[in-house]
Amino acid sequence: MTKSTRTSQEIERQTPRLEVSDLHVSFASRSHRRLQRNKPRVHAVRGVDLSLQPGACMGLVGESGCGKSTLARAVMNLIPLDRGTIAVDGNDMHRVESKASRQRIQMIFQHAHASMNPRMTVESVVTDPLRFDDRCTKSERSRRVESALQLAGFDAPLRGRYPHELSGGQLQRVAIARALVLEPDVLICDEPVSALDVSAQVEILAQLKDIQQTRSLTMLFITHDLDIAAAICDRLAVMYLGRIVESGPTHEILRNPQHPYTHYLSAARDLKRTSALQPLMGEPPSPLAPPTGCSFHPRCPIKSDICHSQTPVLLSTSQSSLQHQAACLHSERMDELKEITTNR
Amino acid sequence: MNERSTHSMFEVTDLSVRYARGEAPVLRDVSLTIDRGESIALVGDSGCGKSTLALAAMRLLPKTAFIRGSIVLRGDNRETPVDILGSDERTIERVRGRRIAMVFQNPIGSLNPVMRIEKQLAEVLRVVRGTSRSTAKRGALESLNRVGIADPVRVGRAYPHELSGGMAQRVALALALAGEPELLIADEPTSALDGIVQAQIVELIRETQRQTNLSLLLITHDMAIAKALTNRVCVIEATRLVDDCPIDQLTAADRHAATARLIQAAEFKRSAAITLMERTI
Amino acid sequence: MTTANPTNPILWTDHASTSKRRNWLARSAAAIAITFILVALLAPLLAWHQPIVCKYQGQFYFPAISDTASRLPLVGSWFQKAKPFRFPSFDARTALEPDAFALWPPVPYGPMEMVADANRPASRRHWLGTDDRGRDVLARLIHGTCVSVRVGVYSMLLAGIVGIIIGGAAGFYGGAIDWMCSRLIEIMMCFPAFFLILVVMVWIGNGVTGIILVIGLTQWTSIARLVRAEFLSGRELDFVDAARSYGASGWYIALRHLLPAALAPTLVALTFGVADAILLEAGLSWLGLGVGADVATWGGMLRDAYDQIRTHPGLMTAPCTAIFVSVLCCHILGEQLRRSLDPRIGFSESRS
Repeated sequence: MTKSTRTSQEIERQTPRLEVSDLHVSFASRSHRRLQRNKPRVHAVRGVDLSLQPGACMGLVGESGCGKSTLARAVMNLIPLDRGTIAVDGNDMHRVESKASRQRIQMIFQHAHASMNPRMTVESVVTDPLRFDDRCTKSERSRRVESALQLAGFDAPLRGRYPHELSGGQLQRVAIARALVLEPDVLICDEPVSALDVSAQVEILAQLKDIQQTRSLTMLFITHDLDIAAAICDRLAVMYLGRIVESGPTHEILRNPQHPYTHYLSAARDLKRTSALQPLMGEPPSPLAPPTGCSFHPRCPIKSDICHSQTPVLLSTSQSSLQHQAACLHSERMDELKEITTNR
Repeated sequence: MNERSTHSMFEVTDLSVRYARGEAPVLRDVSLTIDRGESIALVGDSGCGKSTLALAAMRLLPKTAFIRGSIVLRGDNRETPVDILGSDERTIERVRGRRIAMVFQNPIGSLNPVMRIEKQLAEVLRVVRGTSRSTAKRGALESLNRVGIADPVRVGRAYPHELSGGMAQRVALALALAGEPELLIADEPTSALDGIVQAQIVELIRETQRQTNLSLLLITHDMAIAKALTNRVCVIEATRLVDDCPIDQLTAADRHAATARLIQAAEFKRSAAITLMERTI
Repeated sequence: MTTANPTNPILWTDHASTSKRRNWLARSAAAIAITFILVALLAPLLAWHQPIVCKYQGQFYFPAISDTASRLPLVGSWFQKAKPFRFPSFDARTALEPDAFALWPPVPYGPMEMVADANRPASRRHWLGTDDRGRDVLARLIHGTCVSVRVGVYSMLLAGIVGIIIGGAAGFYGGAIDWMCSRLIEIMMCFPAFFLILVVMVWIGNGVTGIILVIGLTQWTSIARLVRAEFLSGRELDFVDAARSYGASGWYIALRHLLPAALAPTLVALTFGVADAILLEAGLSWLGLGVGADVATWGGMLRDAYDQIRTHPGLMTAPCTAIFVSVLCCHILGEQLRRSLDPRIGFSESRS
């Protein structure tokens, strides 16, 4: 990589807080044909590299089924990897056995309600992780729980309630408190607001952004909503069918998408408001048998023959920023694509 | 008012609903009218009672609910008005699916899980349109085609769980439109879907409205979708209807606080993105 | 807003009445079940061949009370009866002086005592009459309750423990352990349980403990299947993943997060299981393979009554009613438990 500005050079030298490299995850398909001998494998994540500096907030954006939740679970060590490494400050998370270093990554789950034991009160939900924190004595627990709940903006009088007695917004605050009570360095948020009303979404996002900045947390924020990602992330990675197709600073990606899929994602936001654009048609291909070459070619209007055979890699495309990378063989034809979508 | 009611095809008057004795009402004195061919949106936060209104309009509320007020479906002038809450079950069955149809938030859950799509569609066609058994299957494939499914044969052979969310919502829409209803009630039809698919479904509903003279009652919490699909917005806040205004007057200064808040919430994500961009550039 | 529209009669139903009715039923079932348990615990105070309190040779004795105490579970062995009353040859009725102070139980006969002529109809002395050997039917009924309650409760406790351990291990570990446990469950289920019990009973002989062991060790399969299914589905839940992600150990997850969810359906199944155990015990006793002829049981009473069903059919009534009522009680209680422990049913009831 060539030299850019001084600041980016400094960033390059630092060890990233969270580094995912060449991650591959697949699992046996749960098809209804149980007796099939060789069950086809779902290739959910196919070679993902991510690197988050301390205090960074990266948004991972993609449609449902693109593998972003699988990636989160793999990072949390909840499912086995096929290949690749996940490292926090250079320590491989799937190798270390120490509980303390694993607890440096915590996660907020998509369905706050499902992620809590229905038979436990808010207080015990948030206390539960502390039982496994060796540094935390019993007498310290209630203080830590209180400060975590406060940090998450949870109404203290409701702490004796059960999860089903709370609203979606309050429940998500409990989930945030539970993730923060172990004082992690890295927070993975898997669609933390997608189940909420727009107004509750706004509150939770503001709270998360606030926590991230005051605590200088490193955050991987997974969502299907580009608006939400844009609101709180400073960098974005767009995922399609198990691969990152574009990554870079948020404003660069929104202003000047370099991959056709990103262009359509961003156009879909406008389509809810006006009807000037043509939405991307069709559905993503099955991850059971991903297409050869570029995964996006079956739906891409600017594809050519090489897209069928050659797999594009993430390359820096624009002159202004080396951090903005896209995996498209024809990113020079993006203007053409913009014309196609506006003239319907 | 008088002039307007001559056109209105669906009227809700002073509707109040409670689910059980001693429970707080979920709707209080809600009145609204929908004109022929008009699209209106019912916007509010979850738990404000907007889905209850949809269920009441189809008379799908539990029998034990306490209901006051009236819901009348007028249709065009030739037909006698139907009192939804007061009529007997047989009249209502002739209204459901034929004159009022509904699309739900969770499309896969609203389909029969053990029946192939084409069979479900064919059955609905037989029941509501009286299509013969032999032509119903062809009709099913045609109606799948009409909701923008490029490969109706393959989708027809599938079971609901084999479909993606967007595909299932298309099928649900095909089922709802099978009876050529006058009024379509869409309860959060896109909230469970991703951005691109959301855009596809919004486009599809828009297209359907352009082709037929369908009235639409859209229930949503997202003002952005309400703006995209309808020309009038009714805002419900905490069981009461607090605002009813045409879409082009939404930003007027004297709007109700709840309306302003919902617009703000819809704008927030977008505006936050913009401020962030401005800050970092 | 407190009245429904009177023009909509279809929409007006008072749902409170149905739930009230169910409540009433469950409460009376609970009351009857508690009565059965009390009768079982206090049987010698209700029907016994020795007095509750008496003065014998200038000293006060409490023979029925100490008999009751010595039959209590766990702590029974701490109590011992005062001397003269301990000997089987000692007959309180003749030994006590006629004018000595003595408070007798309401039914002053033991279950095995031949106290009157055979097959006497109900009278003031024998409230339910006497059987073919002149034994008081009510006394036998009361002491039969002890056996049924003991067999029902203990065998199901045993079944519950075995079921939770095997089912829990299968569901929690999965893989080879699940395969082995599942095959074991299937083998146990395929085997005709009654026949198995018959064979084992013939082999180990009569006795309450034997019956409890045999019923407990054959009836755990349905519990194990329930617990296995709960654990299997629980393992997939997000809150288990959440617990794993903050470093909870496997044992902690199993005991704290998975077991509580499995306990509710297990409790329900156990309640129904008590009914089955009571029926099984009655059936075995009827065949003469149960507790033994020296102890009064409902099944044994039925068998005795069956011998003279043509001449004295009324003798069947008492044991039949007792079995029927106890089994029905268990079923009503189990159903009510199922409803109150299932959060979904609870929700829909409060909603609609």
